[in-house]
Amino acid sequence: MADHLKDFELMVLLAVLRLDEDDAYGVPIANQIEQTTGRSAALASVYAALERLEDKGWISSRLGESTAQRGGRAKRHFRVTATGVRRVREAKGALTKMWMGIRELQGGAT
Amino acid sequence: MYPFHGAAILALVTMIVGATSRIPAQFDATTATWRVRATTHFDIYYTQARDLDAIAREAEHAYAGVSHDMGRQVSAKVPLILLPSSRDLPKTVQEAAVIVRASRAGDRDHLLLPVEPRDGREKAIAHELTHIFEFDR
Repeated sequence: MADHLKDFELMVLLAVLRLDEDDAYGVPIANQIEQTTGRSAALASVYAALERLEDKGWISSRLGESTAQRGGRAKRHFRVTATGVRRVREAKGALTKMWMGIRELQGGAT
Repeated sequence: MYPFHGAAILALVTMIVGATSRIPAQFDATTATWRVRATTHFDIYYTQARDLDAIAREAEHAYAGVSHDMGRQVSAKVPLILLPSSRDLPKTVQEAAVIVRASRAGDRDHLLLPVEPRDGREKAIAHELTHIFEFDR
């Protein structure tokens, strides 16, 4: 079965792409989604999506330095891989094609 | 010349002494007596039983939410170390290590939680617990 990009995973990928790599870790990614879309993004849901995306090879991660604020734990920084970028482009292309020609979606009103 | 000055200064000193005597002593993890309460997913290390039942409930509720969102469980019970208040939280990794050693919570990835303030406590547990899930794959 084709490995389709889920709605929330697409948002996580776009949020990671919008952030500098040094800022692309859990809390800023969740904040980016909330601020941009107005949709709430629980930190655990963001990490669950990041784990799925990393398992698929669409993002990669590296550990930063440990900090006292996190009890000595390091931050995990994320970046979108070339495959991930391709998947985002494909998703945008597919959605745009599906969008075109639908009379109810013409114009700015919802 | 200014008789009021003497009385005012005495009152000020009395106020300062009174105020400082009400500040509780700094928490010392190394001399405190630590106990453990086991719940389904946590070993809670504490020195004062105040709010312990409420914290146990909040921790399990937070666990249920995070576990649902992450779609899995953590591999072992989470050590949850309680400190009396937020001013007792460690400022450095070294200070954190001293508290963990004193509590005898062991080397597992742990949570440090101040009992006070109560507002936002469950949210803080859920946030830190998410990081424990993150590093427990």
